Amino acid sequence: MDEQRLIAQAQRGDLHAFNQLVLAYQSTLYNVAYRILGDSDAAADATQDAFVSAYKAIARFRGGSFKAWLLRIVTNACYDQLRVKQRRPTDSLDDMLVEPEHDATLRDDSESPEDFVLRQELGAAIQQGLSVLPPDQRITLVLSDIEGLSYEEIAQATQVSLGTVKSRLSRARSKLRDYLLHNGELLPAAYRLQGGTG
Amino acid sequence: MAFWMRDKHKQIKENLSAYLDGRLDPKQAAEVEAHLASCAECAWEKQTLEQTRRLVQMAPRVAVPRSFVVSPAQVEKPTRAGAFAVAPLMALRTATAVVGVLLAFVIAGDLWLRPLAPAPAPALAPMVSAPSAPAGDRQAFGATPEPTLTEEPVMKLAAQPQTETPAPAAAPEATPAVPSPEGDGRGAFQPEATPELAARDLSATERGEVGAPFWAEVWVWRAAEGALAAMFVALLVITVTGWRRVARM
Repeated sequence: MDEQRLIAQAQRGDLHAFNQLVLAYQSTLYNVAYRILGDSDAAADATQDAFVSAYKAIARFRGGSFKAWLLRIVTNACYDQLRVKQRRPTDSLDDMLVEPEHDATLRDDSESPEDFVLRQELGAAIQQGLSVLPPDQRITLVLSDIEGLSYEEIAQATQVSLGTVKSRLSRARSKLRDYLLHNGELLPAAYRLQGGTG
Repeated sequence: MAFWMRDKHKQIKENLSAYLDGRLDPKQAAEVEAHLASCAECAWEKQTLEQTRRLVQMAPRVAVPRSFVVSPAQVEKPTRAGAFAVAPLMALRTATAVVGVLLAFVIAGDLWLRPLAPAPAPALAPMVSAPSAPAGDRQAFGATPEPTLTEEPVMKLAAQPQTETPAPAAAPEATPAVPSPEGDGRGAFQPEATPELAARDLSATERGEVGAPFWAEVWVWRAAEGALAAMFVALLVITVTGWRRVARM
């Protein structure tokens, strides 16, 4: 995929070219939205909103990491969804923690069924741990440790300084570690953290 | 532990996450490594943070529930919907501004223009009949600024046919004084239509000419200010509510 060419065509209003970019990035955006929001429907809405917004705004894209640019749009869409959730007190935290059935975990061909089940349990435990983090820290952790973005890309996506990225990530990892330590039963035995000196 | 050592320990702890990511400069990284060799707490911290990071990295990816390909309708419909939602709001905003400016003008006019208006003419009480009065009395009335003495202009007009040629404006009014050729009895009323009636009609005409202009009336200004203020508040509320609704779209 020639990303630059597709971006240039999309900037001239070529929706077909833009949709090739959508196909290339929809899994990334959806996974980020899902880990931030913990809800498949809200994640799908945020992802779709993000792509529609991105198409409308692509003329203003001035180079740099296109992935980070898209992630910035989807994280903004996630903030919108989180604000909507805040305005609806009927949505309990438990609703966010449920792993919906149709959010099928992608299975590695080389993975045994047992390993697949273990990884699903791990995914559910991580999702619960993420849900207790403040949104800023959660987003930073997801972009760093799930999507593998560099500090610079995270800074671009979240529009904060490198120092802020560093401190948010440090706090997010510490909080998640503490959560997983205190809720060790959520993790499969093979993945449990060993409490000790801390 | 000494205070400076505690401070250093805290600083190293805060840098462990960046150390794991290889984001410290060589000098800072060497400091962290030296500290880790002698601090069990930080060594445990580093180990558990590393495990946590690895667990998060191992979290499985989820399959997309559907395609997020953008359809032409999705990029056109919101635009049109947005235009439909925003265009009236822009008009409302403009209308609010216009009404606000008008209100400001009216208040300014009330404050500065109305006091400059000529005082209302006493002829504004029109129902007084027009008995003829001596010229001396007229002078006396005319010299009195008391507005309740409303007879003066009427009397003045009533005197006109007696003392001078009727004004051209009175001529059409006086026409019915000519007896009708049919002689249907209406002529019986003609004497009343002569000088006195003409005087009454003239007085009405005169009232329009010599009375205070409408913009000298307090109630005109109050009514305008009240109406504009009500419109302004209503438009403001509608506009603000509308923008909030669009902002939530």
